[in-house]
Amino acid sequence: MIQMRFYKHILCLFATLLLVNSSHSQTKLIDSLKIVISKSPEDSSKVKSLISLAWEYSNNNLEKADSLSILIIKLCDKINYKIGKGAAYNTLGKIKIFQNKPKASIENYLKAAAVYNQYNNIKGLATVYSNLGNVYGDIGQNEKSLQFYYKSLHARKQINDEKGLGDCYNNLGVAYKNRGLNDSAVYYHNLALNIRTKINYKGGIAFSLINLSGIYTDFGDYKTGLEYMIRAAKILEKEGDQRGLLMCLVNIAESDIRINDLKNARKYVDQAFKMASDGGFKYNLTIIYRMYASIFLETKDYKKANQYATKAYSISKSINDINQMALALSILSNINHKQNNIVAADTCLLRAMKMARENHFYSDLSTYLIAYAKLKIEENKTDNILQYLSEAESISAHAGALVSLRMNLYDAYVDYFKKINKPTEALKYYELYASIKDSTYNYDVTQKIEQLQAVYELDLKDKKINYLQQQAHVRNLELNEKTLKLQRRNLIIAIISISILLLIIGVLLFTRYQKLENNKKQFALIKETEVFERRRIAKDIHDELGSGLTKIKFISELLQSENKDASLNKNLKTISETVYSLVDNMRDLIWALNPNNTTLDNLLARIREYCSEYMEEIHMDFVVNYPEQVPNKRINNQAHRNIFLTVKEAMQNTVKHAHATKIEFNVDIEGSSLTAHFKDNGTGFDIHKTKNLESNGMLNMKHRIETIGGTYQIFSGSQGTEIVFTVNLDTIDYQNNTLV
Amino acid sequence: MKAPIKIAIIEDEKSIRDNIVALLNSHKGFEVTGLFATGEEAIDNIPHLNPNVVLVDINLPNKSGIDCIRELKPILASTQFLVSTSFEDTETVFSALKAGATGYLTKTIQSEKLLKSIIEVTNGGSPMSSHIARMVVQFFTAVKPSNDIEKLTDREIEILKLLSKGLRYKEIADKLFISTETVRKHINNIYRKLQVQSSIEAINKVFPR
Repeated sequence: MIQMRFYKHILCLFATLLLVNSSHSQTKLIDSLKIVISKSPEDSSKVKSLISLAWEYSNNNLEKADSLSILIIKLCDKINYKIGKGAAYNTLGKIKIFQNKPKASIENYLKAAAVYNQYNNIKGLATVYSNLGNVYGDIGQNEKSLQFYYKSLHARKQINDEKGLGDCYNNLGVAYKNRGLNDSAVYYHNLALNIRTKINYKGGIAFSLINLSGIYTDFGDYKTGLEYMIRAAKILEKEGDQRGLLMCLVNIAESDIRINDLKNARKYVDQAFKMASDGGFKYNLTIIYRMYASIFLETKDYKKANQYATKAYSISKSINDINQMALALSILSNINHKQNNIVAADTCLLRAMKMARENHFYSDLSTYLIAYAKLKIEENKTDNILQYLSEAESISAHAGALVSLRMNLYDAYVDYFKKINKPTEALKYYELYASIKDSTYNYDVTQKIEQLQAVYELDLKDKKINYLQQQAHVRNLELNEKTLKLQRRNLIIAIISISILLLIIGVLLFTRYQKLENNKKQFALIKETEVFERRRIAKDIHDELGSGLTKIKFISELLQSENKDASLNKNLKTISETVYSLVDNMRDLIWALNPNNTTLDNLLARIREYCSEYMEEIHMDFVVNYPEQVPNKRINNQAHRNIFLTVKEAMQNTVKHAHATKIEFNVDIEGSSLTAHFKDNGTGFDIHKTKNLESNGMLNMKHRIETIGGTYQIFSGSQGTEIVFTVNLDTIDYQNNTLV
Repeated sequence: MKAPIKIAIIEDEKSIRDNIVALLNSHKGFEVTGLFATGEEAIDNIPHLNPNVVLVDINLPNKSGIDCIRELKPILASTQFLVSTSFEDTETVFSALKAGATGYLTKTIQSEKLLKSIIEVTNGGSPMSSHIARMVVQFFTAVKPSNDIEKLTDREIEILKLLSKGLRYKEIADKLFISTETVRKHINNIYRKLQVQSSIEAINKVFPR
């Protein structure tokens, strides 16, 4: 069970593989970076070089990297280079991980995310979210980890970053595996595999295969696990990735041990050992020695097993790898246990537990706890077992658990309850144990995965066919080389000239479009201001003039009632009448100032209402004939006001002078032309002889209609008087507004 | 002899207040029972007076005339509230109607018209201009009442449409073959529904559904 942890280390290893160069080339790189930096002025390119330098330091001198990053942040503040600041926080976040300070790392990543978010740098955001997912995963906060991976996924999709998408799916797969949800993990790893195959990213393909292998191995399907791992190994061998291949070999060997194929296991471990000792990979050697120990443990050659486990322990101690030390101790405990050295077995395991607890290797810790519990069950010391098991259970629930770990835990419970003679409880845990396999691999998900695999296989086949076709094409190319070359050159010239042409057209269209947009915006702004101003004016008139006029009216009325002088009273009466008509006019003005009111149908309604009310009081007949449908068309203020006042004037003239008993007002609309007839049955008058005030009124009406582009005519005879005016509705549209 | 119409006045401008009182006192059939310069005073005292008509100025210091109506109308169901304003037909008048007023007049109205309006409103007649009618239609289209009691009937909508075209009550009565009285009753109902729906709207704004 303990060897299961190899897979986890592969993850760490791959992460570092991407970063670590040989120490020699690294020093050279640092030196050349320093030269670049000393020469460049304090600008964004310097920041970029400094960040690269901090990166290089993070591989061998964390303190220097740390202080340099803080300097970079200050420099960014100084030259106001925001994105650089984001990158610097991101670097600092990574350095904090290497310093084993996850909290500080999260803080810095969040700062980086805030910067990228503010400046909408999606690519940077995707990276930081992914890094945050990693840290939260490391400290066992799997929910948070998943959240950030999904955020990163969303960002990658937005910028269509296929490689990043692949990495994201992979991270999600790992996160789901850590939560013990193997079906989802397989689903995401297959997605990652498909996308990586599509973009032909060899290292990533191998990585996905290794992860898939790990999951199958975790729930006991060693055969499938082995298949995936061998496929990965082949790719890595071709790519010349020594370390990767090494880890594959070790894992293949481990699965071979599981299915008791010790011969094969030995073969792979030997191969791995040769590679590791040739390459001087100490870290791998600790694992390889542990593998040897496991093999010898299986063949019951305890002496050799002990030797190798001790070697594994001392090497891991020399490189200060506490995790590996603990793992070596746990296998030592196992070896001692098999030899019935109970005290030694206990001590080793307790030390491993202490290390794991102090260094927060929660998953390992629960494994050790279970192992310890099992040890005690065998020794018949059942006192504190439940305590160990429940601690293991709570840790694994908190940190998320591998399926194998949970199965192992329930297995231990079963052993314990059997031992203390509680068969009911034992059965309960046995059922839990048995149900895990079914629950992790439900039917729907299996189908989904099969579909994904089919897609993947198809893709591979397509690639093969493509490859063959390409080869045929190459042969054709060789045959027709000269003509093709010529054709291709022509084609390229054509494509380039067309692209340039399109680009120019595009730029021209874009500038034109922008200009139009600007005009539109300006127009909208003017309109908006106009509406606002109208409302304000209306309110001012209402508040200020209104109360003043009211007072004048009341005071003049008061004076009239108190005063007996006839001529003064006449003047006072004129004052009140003037106030009435002022209020009347104000009311119409305010009304017309509301842009919602100045439509054609509202105007006609208002004329009808006003005239009817007026006529009702003086008992004169008033007949209105409007078209069935009056368009709900907005007209401009001036037209609205002028038409209304013209009809009002006509009506007042008639009432005052014509001695009529009936007035008719007819409106016809034809197309965009509106014609109004205002007719009375009065005595009529001689238009040409009328000079004084009345003619003034008539001139006014004519002027009002002509100002808004209409025509005005008046006819008068013994049958009565008729005023006819025509306006064009397009001319008085509100868009052609001249402010009143 | 018929009992005089009891009138309360809310008006902050002293000269206007005095003149209205003088006008009402000089005519038979009117009795001014309360005079208030602020909305707060009016809300405290008017419920005890139980007047037939309250003349409310909209622009008051602190509590507005609309607030007064909103608070008083539910207590004094049979009292008619007439809004007095500088110019009729504004959005403010419509707000007052939504709060529960059943009529409106301009302060500069001729004296006879003022008296006529008061008598009309006590007899259950409510004036409605084409502009207000349009606002009512718009309001009910926008809020879409959920309850049948608050919905406008087809007849009421028909009347509002004719009003908004500028037709007088009498013209509408002739057109629909009903009496002017019936038109008035419909208008009264519309005012009532407007107030009910407005108060529901106000509640919904505070406690969204």
